[in-house]
Amino acid sequence: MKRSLATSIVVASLATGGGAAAQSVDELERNFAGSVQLDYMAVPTDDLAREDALDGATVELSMKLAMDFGDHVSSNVKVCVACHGLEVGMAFFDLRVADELNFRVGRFTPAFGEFPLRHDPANHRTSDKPLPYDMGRMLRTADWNMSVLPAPWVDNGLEVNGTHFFGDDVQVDYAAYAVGGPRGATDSLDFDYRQSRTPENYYVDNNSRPTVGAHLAWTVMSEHLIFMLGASGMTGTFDPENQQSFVVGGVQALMRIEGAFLRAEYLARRTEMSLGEDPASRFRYGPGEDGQFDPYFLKEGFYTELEVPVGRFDFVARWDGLRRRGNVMQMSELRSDSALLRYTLGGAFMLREGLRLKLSGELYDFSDFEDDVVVHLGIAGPF
Amino acid sequence: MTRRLLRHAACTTVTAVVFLTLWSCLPGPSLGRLLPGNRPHPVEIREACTVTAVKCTRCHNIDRVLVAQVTSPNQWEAYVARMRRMTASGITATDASRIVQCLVYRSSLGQEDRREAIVGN
Repeated sequence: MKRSLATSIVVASLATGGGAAAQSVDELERNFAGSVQLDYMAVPTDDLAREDALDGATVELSMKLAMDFGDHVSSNVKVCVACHGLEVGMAFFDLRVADELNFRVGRFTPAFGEFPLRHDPANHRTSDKPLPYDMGRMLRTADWNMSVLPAPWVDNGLEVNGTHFFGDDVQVDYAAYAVGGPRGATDSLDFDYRQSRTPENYYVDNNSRPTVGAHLAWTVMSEHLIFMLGASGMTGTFDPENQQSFVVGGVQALMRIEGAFLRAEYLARRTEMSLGEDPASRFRYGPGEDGQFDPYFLKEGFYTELEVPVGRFDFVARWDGLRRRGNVMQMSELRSDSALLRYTLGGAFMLREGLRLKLSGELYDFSDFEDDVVVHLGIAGPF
Repeated sequence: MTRRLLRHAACTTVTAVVFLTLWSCLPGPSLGRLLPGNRPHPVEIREACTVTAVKCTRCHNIDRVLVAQVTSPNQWEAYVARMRRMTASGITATDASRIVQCLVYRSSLGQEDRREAIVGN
């Protein structure tokens, strides 16, 4: 009898405790969201484009789980699958003290520029990204070693950010962060993006020094107009010996009138190359008038984009480009001053809720290679 | 090369500004695809949905809202609060309550009405 009573008490208390636990779990707000894009990239002006680009069909998938722990703490975990395989794009906590003070801790995309806010394929109308933020879908991606700052730029660290509202129409956003930073090999000439995301090197900083950056934006918003101006910067070192520095800066502008967007961004990155023991045999161009080899190169990128919705269509016209100035390796097909201009016309047609068919044509105007035409046909949507 | 870039930039800017000026003269789809046009809606809801359409499309298109897997007013509150914490969202505390008002109202509509809102607008 006593054993039966004790058992009943234990079961009852477990049930009560279990109920309380279940209730507390229910109080947590969870949300699952994601997006998928399947894109086919064709290069009709090139018989075998695979030598110059990652053409053909690619899938970009992202899945995000967000959880809120009350009003001041939330967490986000996001995984992405694309050409680079499975990657964790987000794994962070937001600790919010006020609108003006939020701490973001973990793995995230540090605040830089405007495009990274909408880097998800379901959030922009073209199948690919503007050249300053391209992550491998541009032609001649290996020759250019991608863009200025491939998006999304994911890294581990801490970010302090916030927003102050001046009335209902004006806001100022800021962010300052310290992250692991980009990586490159010892004696390298540029970033090595594969090192930034390969588990073989572990997901840790390669040189024991954080990269720091900041972002500031001023926005005017009304029912019919949004106007934003912003500036971003990031600096640090990227080689294991902490000897090669880089600094990247950018300015952004956005104007929205009714549903139409006009966007423009400019990015520039000054990167220090390793000269090696014998720069004369390593580089194509000789020393300057002072007899010294210039160890820096400057990579610039820009885009302007007009997006206009008309019924179920969203039309996009984009003009973007890259420019690289500085010495190059002996075997490089670039010169000391190389440029690429790209002209894009495209549109997205809403098939049904959330699902869009994307079609775009691009003309690549290279300074060092034959011009090429690219056609993208894709389907994308959130879920 | 620099001169060529500057000439291109000037032409592009002028064209875009002219186009946007013309575009601004047209009536805009201020409610996005949030409310179906086949029935009347309270004025405060229409105003709240206008705020929703403007603020939510700052970082992503309205599709994200339309397919959100949210079922209760509490979830909408938490969802909008999380969006409000995003840098550059531009959602004030007042905006957040109005956005929740719109989205809760929209959730109360039947599925056919919501579909009409998406396709019909």
